[in-house]
This record gives sequence, C-alpha cells and structure tokens, in this order.
Amino acid sequence: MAIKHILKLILKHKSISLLITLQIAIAVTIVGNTSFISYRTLQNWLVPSHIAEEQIINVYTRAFDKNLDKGALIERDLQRLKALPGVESASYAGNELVLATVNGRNFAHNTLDTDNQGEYVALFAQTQGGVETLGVHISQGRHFYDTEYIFGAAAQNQRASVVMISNALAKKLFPQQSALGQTVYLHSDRAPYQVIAIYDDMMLGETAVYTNNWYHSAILPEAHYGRNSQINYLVKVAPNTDKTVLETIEDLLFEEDGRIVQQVEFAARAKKRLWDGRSTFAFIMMGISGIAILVTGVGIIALVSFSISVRKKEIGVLRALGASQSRVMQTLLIENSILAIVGIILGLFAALWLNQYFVTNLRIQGLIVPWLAGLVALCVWLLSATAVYIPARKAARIAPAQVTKTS
Amino acid sequence: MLQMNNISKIYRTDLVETHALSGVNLSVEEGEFIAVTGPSGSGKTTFLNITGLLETFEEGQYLLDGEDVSQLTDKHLSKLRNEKIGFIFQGFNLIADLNLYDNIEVPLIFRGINRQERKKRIEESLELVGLGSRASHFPAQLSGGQQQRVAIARALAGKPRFLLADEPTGNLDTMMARQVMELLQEINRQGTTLIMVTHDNELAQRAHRNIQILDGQVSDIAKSQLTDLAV
Repeated sequence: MAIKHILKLILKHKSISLLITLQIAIAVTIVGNTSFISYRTLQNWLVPSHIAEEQIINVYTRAFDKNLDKGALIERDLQRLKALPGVESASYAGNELVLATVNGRNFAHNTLDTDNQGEYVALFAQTQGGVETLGVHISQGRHFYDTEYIFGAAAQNQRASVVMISNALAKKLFPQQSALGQTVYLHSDRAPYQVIAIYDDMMLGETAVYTNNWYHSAILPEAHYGRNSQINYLVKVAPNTDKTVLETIEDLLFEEDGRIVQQVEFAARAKKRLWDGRSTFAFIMMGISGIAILVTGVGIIALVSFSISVRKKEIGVLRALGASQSRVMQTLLIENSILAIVGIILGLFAALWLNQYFVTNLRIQGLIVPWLAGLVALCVWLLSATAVYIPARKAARIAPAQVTKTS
Repeated sequence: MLQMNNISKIYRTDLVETHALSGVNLSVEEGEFIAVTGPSGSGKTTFLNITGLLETFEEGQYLLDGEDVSQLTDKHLSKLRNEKIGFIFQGFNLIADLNLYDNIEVPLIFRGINRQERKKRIEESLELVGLGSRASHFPAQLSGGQQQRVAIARALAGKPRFLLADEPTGNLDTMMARQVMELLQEINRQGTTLIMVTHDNELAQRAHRNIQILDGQVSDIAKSQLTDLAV
C-alpha cells in the first residue's frame, strides 16, 4: 500500500487517528518539559562549586537579648571558635553565608547610573580571617591590609573602601579592561569600593546561583552587627573533620546566655538544600512523565488493536492480494508513524507553550534544549512504534484464507 | 501450468482430525476453464485456499509453473499470489474506504509496478469490465454486480496466470450473475485460465471441464453427471 492509500485510510478512520495523535501530542508535551527541566537541573548539579564544601561550616545564631553587647560577644565567639580542635579559621559573616543568602539580594554596579540594574552578586562581608575561611585563591592583586577591616555596629555606618571580586564578576562588570583598580558600587546606596584583588571563581551565593550567576561574588573587609538579631559565622575546619564538630560548635555557642543557635551546617548541606527544590519539581515531572508514557503506550496498543479488529477483513484481503506479513506490519507502522509525527509536531508546540508558562509563572529553570526536543521526539516515536508492534504482529498473523470464509 | 500431486490437508483440534482433502491429484493446462463443484463441507474451500496459496498443506506436491510451492516462505507465497493469481471472491472483498482506482492499484503497488504502467492497467481493466467512468467512485456507490466487476478488473490488472473465482455470482441476483458470468467466459476466451469453485451446477455447465469434490477427494466428471449437489 502506498503512502497515499494509508493517508486516505487515516482520514477515513478519523476518531481513532485523532485519539492516537492526541495521546502522542500530550506525551510529547509532558515528557518534553520534564526533559528540559531535568536536564537543566542536572546541568546545574554538575556545575563545579570550587569550594571546600565539607570544610566550610555555616553557623546561624540569633541574639534575642537586646541588652547584649554584640560586638564583645562576636569577638568572644570567634576567639573560642578558633581555639576548637580542627578549626583552621573563623570569621563573622555580616551578610551572606556560603550558598545561603540571609539578607535578600545584592547587586554590583560598575556605574552610578540608576538605570543600570547591575549584576547579581553574593556579597560576603567578613571580619579578619574571612578570606582564609572561604578558601579564596587570589589570582591578581593583593590581600586586605589589617587596617582596611571595618568592624562595628550597623548604626555607625562605617564603610570599607576596598573589595575583592571573583573573576566571573570582574569580566562581567569590566569586559574590556582589567578590573583591578576599578570602582565597584555596592549596596542600595551604591557605595564605592575599589577593586584590589580578583580571585578564582567559586560558587558562593544562593541568590546568585539561583539566577545562574554561579560564580558572581565579592568579599568586603567590613562587617556590621546589630542591623537585626542575626549573628552568623563562617568556620573552616581541617579536611576530613568528623561531623561531630557541628555539635561541638553548637554546644560551645549555646553556653552564652541571651541567644539561640539556629543551625550549624556544612556548606555541602546548604548546597544540597539549594538544589532540592528544583530537583523535587523535576522528580514530580518525571513521575507525571512515567504515567504519560504508560498511558500513551497502553492507549496506542488498545486503539491500534481495536482499529485492527475492525479492519480484520480488510487486512485479510490485502494478505490475499499479495501483502506479506512484513508488508502488513510495515503498513501499520507507517500509518502509526504518520500519526506519531503529526502528534509529535503538535506536542512540541504545546511543550513550547507549557515551557513558557513554567518559566514565566513558576520561575522554573528549563528552557528548551533543541537537541533534547529532537531526542524526545525520537523516543516518543520509538515508544509508539513499539506499542504498535504488538497489535501489528497480531494483524500480520491474520490468515489470508480469512477472505474465503463466508460471512 | 498447475500440477497437484497427492495433496492432503488435515485440520487438527484436540479431539478430532478432519481430513479436508486427501490425496488430491489435478493438472490444469493454460487456457482451461475449470469448474469445481461439490456440496457444502466437501472440501471446496480448502481446495480453493490451497490452490490460491492462501493456506498450506501437510502432504503432497503443488507445482505452479513448475515451481514447488510446498516449502516456500510467507514472503515468497505472498509474491506468487500477487503475481500469478487473480482472485474473485463471493463477497467481492473490495476495500470499502478506497475508491475503485485505489482498490485496483493496491496489489499493483505490492508488485512494484511504476505509476504510469499502473494507471494504464487500471484504466484498461476498468474499461474492460465496463466501469471506465467510475474510477473515483467508492464500492458502496455501486451495485453488487458492479462491485464484482471491479473485483474482476482488480484481478485482471495484475495479468495473472490464472483467475481463481470463489462463487463469483453467489451474492448476485440472476440478471447480474449472468452478466458477470458472461464477462468471465469472455475473459477466458481471450486466453486467461479460469478456475471457478461453485456449488451451482448451472454455472458449472459453462466450464470446459468439470471437477467434483466429495469428502476431500477430487475427480473429473462429465457434464452429464453433474447433479444438484448443493445443500
């Protein structure tokens, strides 16, 4: 049978053809988006962090006693933390913790022009020891001088004058020239800071990562306290330090009256949490995809079986007129492939639309990946071909002698 | 052209063995018109199926144009059916969803005949059965007799070695039956071999040679011996 005959028969059996096409389109829509989202999630998972995830510890505490001398408390804490066995360095973190944004978003600007939205940046406002704790490797420029560190109550509003920025951020802000010696404007009031060092890329900021600015970060030698009740620390322990160190830190900080220890965790834990939300969405989509694939597969088997049972006589006639078993199978596979291709095209358009919806309304990451769309199309076609193979084999076995049976 | 030696066909179920054909010997020469008669259940349909390569058999030898068909694969048998045999069935067996042109074209496509040649053959054969102007009609738009003529056109377009007709007028009224029969005779006169299975002795009278099947056994009989065996 030629393609034109198959097309004519498809058009004659409109409802079955339409159902098969529709099922395939729905499968492509769902499986397509799952693939895009899962692929992006996986891709994000695989971006190297370049940080010592199992050595850096985020410590979150809150001082609820308003009369507490926070400055003195912080100095005491740092001294005691540094004295713990296995601790290499510790620093007060006035702003972000590693892969855990505690104080909203931060932007870095290369101009005072307020129309310029700036770049997402993970802003690490640290006391002495912060650079060591983060494990920063400076590729250009110098370390902070001890005299450049500012530490005080937020109300005093003292600013540092220098900043270290990551290589990725340097290239983004100053694509044409070296960032060293340039001025970067930070905070909502756009305070100026001079870039004194550029360090190798590290994945440090949660919000920055969330916006795919994996390696955008900056380190300031200024740490203010008292803006709110938070008192957070970054601690770096020796490699292969046991998890019990988290408990030791918690116990140590707990001894001070007037504050609570909220959480002590390795950066690895923060990183995992960062991905969990996205992974969950990907897993839910995978579950739905599994169901869609099952329903489509079984649906095609059922619909094609039904359509074959209706056409049993017709297939017998074709067999008698010289269609071999393989030709009958081939014809049914071609017929199904035509429906599958129409379904796949419709499905891809629907997938595009659904993807748009996810990205704009649910802030899901998972833009269309063309080669992946092609792969999904191929897989769905294979699925439909496999599904049709079962009833088609049955159809091929219809005896040509069928035609001489008197009905 | 067609030679059957000692063909047997047995249908087996768990409980019984039915000898549908036993030891059939038959030779058909080019240009013959043979009518095969026999009562219901005598093995007519089995004989038809085996002759038309629609069914296989257990024992014996069947030579078609000198080629032994007993050990052939499905693919090879399908090819032979397509190229050498023109089928005309009692129930016409046209594909309802395709128009007359397409119905005749399908088996020609199986054979790999090019479009131009197909067109020529389809038009010629439709012309021959007097339906030249109805190529775009669908089977349901035609009378029974016309549908059977389309089936004949389909069989002829393939230029087969022989036509195998199974009760070709069984579903037609007398008038149409006569027209179809005259058409078949005319085709035979022009040289096409015709094997017709029927239980209608009146039709059988028109054949050159008569064969009777009784309890799976085939034998030549004289026209004068044709009795009404129909049940």
